[in-house]
Amino acid sequence: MESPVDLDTSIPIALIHELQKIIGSDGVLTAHSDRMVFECDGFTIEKSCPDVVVFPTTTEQIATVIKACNRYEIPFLPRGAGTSLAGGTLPVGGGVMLVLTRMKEIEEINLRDRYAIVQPGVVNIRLTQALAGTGYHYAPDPSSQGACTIGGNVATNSGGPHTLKYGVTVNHVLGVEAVSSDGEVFLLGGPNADPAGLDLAGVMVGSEGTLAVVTRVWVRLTRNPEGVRTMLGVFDSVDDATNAISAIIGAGIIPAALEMVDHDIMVALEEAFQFGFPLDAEAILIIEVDGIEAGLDTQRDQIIEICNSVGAREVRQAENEKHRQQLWKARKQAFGAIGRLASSLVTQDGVVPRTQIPQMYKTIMEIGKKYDIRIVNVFHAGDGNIHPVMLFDERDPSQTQRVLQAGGEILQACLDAGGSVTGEHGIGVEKVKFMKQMFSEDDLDVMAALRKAFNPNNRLSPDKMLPTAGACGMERKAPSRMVAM
Amino acid sequence: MPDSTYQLPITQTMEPTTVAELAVLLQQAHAQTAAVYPLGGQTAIHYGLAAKRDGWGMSTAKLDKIIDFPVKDLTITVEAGITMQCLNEALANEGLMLPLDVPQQMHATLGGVISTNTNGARRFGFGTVRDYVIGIEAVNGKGQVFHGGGRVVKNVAGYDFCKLLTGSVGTLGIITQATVKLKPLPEESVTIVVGVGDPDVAEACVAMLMESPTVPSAIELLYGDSWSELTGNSKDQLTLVVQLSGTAVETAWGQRRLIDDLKNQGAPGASVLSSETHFNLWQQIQEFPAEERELTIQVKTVSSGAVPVIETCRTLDPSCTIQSDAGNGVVTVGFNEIPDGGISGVVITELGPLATTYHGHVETLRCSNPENLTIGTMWGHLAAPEWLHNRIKEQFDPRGILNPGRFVYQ
Repeated sequence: MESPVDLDTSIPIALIHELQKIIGSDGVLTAHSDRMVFECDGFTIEKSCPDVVVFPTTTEQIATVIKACNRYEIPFLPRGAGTSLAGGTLPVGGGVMLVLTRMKEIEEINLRDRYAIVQPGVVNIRLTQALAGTGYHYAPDPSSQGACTIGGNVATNSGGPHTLKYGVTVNHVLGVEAVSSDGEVFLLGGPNADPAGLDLAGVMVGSEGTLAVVTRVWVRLTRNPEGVRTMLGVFDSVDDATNAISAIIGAGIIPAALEMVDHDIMVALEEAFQFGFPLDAEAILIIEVDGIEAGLDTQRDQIIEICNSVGAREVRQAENEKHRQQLWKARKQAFGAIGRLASSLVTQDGVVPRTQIPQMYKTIMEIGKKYDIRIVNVFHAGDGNIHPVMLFDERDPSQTQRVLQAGGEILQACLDAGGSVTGEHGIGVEKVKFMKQMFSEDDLDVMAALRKAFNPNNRLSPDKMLPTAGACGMERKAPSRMVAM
Repeated sequence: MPDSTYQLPITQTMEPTTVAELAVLLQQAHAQTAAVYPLGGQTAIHYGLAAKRDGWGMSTAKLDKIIDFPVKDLTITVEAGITMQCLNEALANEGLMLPLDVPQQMHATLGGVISTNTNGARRFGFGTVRDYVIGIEAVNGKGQVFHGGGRVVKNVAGYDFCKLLTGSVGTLGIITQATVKLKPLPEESVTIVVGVGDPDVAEACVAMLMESPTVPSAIELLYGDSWSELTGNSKDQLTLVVQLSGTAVETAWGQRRLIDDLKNQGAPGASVLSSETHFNLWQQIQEFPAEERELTIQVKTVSSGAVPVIETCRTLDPSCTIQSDAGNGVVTVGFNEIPDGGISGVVITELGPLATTYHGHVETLRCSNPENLTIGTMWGHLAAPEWLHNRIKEQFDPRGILNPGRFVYQ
């Protein structure tokens, strides 16, 4: 039965009826008030309401929806949990949004061959929870792992604290099933890590939903380490902390995680979690090493020695697993805690060569001073991935303008240091304008050519990622309020 | 000796000294629709279907410099023509490594290794080419220089050309420069060896090693005459070889633990190799796929496929030689004579269905008469649709000048 349709949309009514037939009426949103929820993701500054939102439950439904969209020449795009911080799921120009959160089955777990098959709407942490007690886990652990979906992780090539040792999403994706922009279902790779022909599963990861709609993912499972040591390095100056980061990596030690939190964020975390952070310190490092139990104490001692040699006040150890979990909970939920610091926040996601963290920190603080903007910092330090968070009041247009300028200058400094404008959040719509600073015209032309091979009519996720794909690169009038790290 | 010294139909070889020069040459080739065969160290030019068109050889021999080596960032940026030996020496001097275990490293170049996605035994513990390449520069079939990734270890800006070009056999672009991640050299590496008569025990041992807290860096199953000298094991049974790397404390603990664990799985009598034999055995394992013989194939499945594939090959030809990265399900098989039924009999009839059962495929690594190979017998079942391969090729090399007829495109 066709349900009543809100006519406040530019989509042909016949297409809406077709979508209702394909998905069922309970999986199609047409009322403006319902669709508004999907007008932005974690990047809240730009909004664009999809004309229709559908909740498919099978690959076949997705293929049929895409074919219908093509017949009516209507753009479409996929969305997971909408935790993108770069507008990766912003429906530029409206169209049909495929929300994949009802495809949340873990279809197979194969421990002998170390893979699992999941649907794209599976929430990241659910897979690790499903693996509890098996001795395996799913390694990519973005801080939003309690909400974000694996399909979304594939789209953005998500990271997380433990990617320092274990690699980012692309290192853990073996294959995908996808639906092409003209509605054909196809497989790229599978449980076996060696594809015959091109590594197109590798190309799909990080393509931000612009090449095809991922409907199933073969992920690698990672054996749990035998032991783990988690340390909290306490520093009286941020410079000492950043020097410790550089010294640890430079000494050839690759910890499982190496995170830096500065004083102001630590205060907010302490208020939120009462962990017992040393509030008079200027910075803390969370350092974790894991692996063979027999070697861990030596690694721990080496790290403590390095921290002490660059002037750490002390290095504490997590006393037990519960204590360790509390520490990571505080770190991963820093997002929520920072809300205590200011009415508006904007974060950046730059990367510099990891030994340049000390210099980069100074540059960030100088930029903050120059624009009179308070900046607090939380870094995936071991990877050189910085997340400076700018605090301001968006009701003041002058502050807002200065935040935008400061953010741009920080990213430019990352590029000048030989880095990147995004380590894990993606380009989306937010950073399209930086693509021309990071890549040559030929680079962008070849990227557009790759997109054309997959998505020739550009009806799938138009205006994303590449300036040459017609993306606006518009001047931002106000920054995003959201942060995550 | 089988004559498998494959020759490409090259009319002239160019050796550009800069990427700009190489780009101009490819623009000329594009304008004239001249075939171009990319050349690195020429250790793998036999890898692919036989070339049928005359064309230019495009050598990266003069693009062999180290561009940037920020040691403490654990990355290096080099031109693609650098040999693996030069690269490995530069890295070892700083206590670092790129653990890809490439054969013929005196000649093999990094560009060639990326193009052919060449990996070795330590992939189990350290990963493969795609895990290391974080930045790439290449010139496509129109003569456009393009880049992907960058010089930092974490970067999601733009499409991942590093993955696209890894294993693309020079058909989408000639790689001119790459940035790779590095690892610290382990303090110590040791090898544990044990003979295994029963295939079920071999599978049980591999399954145990996959989960072992000792975290092996390589898990190998070997079969055939040529291994006996170094492993000290009878040529009629399988030999299980495990490499552990880490600190001296870790490897000492690991080897004790593994000897017990293997015994518990039904494989008693494991021993630890002397450091000299350790070195020589891994050297032999590394070079095995590159040895000249009538036919060398590689079956790539999931790990549990390794033992069944090995057993099938032994039945097919008891005199074959096998080297398997069993933890990864990669089985390389050398035949001194092509078994009954020919290459297609081995690859398609005997091993193809078995590989499919274990989610894999069969490739021909080298054979004495490549003219008879087809896409099916050379590359096996593609992991992505043919139409998509063709569309990508059309975008990167519209006139089909790069390595024409050698890869998977129709």
